[in-house]
Amino acid sequence: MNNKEFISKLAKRCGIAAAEAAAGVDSFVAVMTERLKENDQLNVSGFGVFEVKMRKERVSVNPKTGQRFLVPPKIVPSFRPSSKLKDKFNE
Amino acid sequence: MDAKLNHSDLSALLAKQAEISGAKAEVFTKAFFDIILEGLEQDGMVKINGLGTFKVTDVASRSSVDVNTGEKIEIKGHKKLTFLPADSLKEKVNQPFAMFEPVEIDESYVDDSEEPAMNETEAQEDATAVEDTPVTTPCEEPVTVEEPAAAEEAEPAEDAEIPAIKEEEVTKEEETPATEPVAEEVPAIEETKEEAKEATAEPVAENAVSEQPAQREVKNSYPITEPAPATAKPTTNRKRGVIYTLFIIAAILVAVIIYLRPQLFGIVETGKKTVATVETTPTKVVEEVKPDSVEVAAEQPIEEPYTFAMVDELAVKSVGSITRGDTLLYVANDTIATHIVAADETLVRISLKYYGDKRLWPYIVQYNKLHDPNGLSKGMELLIPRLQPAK
Repeated sequence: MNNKEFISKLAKRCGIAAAEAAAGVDSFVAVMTERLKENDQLNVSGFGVFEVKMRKERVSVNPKTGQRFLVPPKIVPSFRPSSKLKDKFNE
Repeated sequence: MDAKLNHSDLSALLAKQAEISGAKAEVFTKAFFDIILEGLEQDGMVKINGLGTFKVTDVASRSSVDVNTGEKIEIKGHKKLTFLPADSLKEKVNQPFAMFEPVEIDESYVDDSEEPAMNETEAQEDATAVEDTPVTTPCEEPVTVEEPAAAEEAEPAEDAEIPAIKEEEVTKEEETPATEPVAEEVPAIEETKEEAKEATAEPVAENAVSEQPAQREVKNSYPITEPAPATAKPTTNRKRGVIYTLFIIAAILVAVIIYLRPQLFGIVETGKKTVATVETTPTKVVEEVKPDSVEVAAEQPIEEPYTFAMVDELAVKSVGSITRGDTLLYVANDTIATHIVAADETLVRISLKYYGDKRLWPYIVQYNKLHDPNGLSKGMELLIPRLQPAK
């Protein structure tokens, strides 16, 4: 399911226009991004948790050339599915 | 900030952001996640622009070991929900660290700084190792093939020091040997050639062994032969450098030893001298022995081994200045007092008390036939002899 399919389905479900749904999705994604930037944890019951994680700096080696790189620390968004969701796919 | 937001919080935020009613936002968000789930069930993946991709992936079955029983078990393959964040989301979240970029670590520069240092220390260790072992070190063997002159020098240089010290005694009183002027000219030429190290080493040696010019000459004279192999074999420069440092270290060591323990040499000399004088004729004695010990030597025939031993003892005790009154020999012929040793009293103090000279204590030891001069105990009775100059 791609973005377009997702929006059309969402519009149908909420009884709104596709463009409206698209705008809604955009603003919702913007809200989530904003929250994640603030290190907030987004708990969606029955779905999972969106959060950000800190990755420390590390040294990586290019196996071909043997060059060593210091990879800087970074913050990455992550998603942990709820246990309910996990089980759902293994029935 | 680090807050935990739930579904309704998100809805409220969305309502604010999109300027819609709260109820509507609630419905919308609920539909949002429900449809994601549906999509996952249907296609196994859902892509949402700006957020990322949810995907159901297969995990293959694998064998493992039960940690409790140690039995082999198989973990069955299952499905897993993964989330791949969109680039825009990653970028926005990572903004605090956005300015960092992977940096290549230049290893070569670390090696350059460390390896030469290592080599140097190794070389020094080698040098000191050679230094510690006797003069005939196997280390010099490879060198001897190409530069026998340089290698041979090590031994003469070391050996020559002892003769040089002895020789120097003679030269002081009698004549300066012919070798001295020659050797003294050499330093003038050689010192300019010599490395800065050796130059700095020299003053130390000079201060330390100011009374041993003979030894310095020995040191200065090695470069005479060394330039020859240098020109003949430029490839052996490094080996020569090692030998140079060996010489320098050896010279410094000897100088320091002499400086710190001059009595070693002093004792050996005086001991030998006195022995020599006992054996040889009196006329020779006067020539060879220093003025101070002349008296001692002259006394020798009269005084027998007993006084001889005493002189040695004196020499051991007071090495620094040889010119002093008590080199005069005394004869202990009578007891003048009986002294009872008090607590914390030493022979030196007793000597000072009875003779007014703290250096005369060996006579007390001698007279009382004490085995251990340091073993005085409280209440011990000591006979104090009357000392008369033996003439």
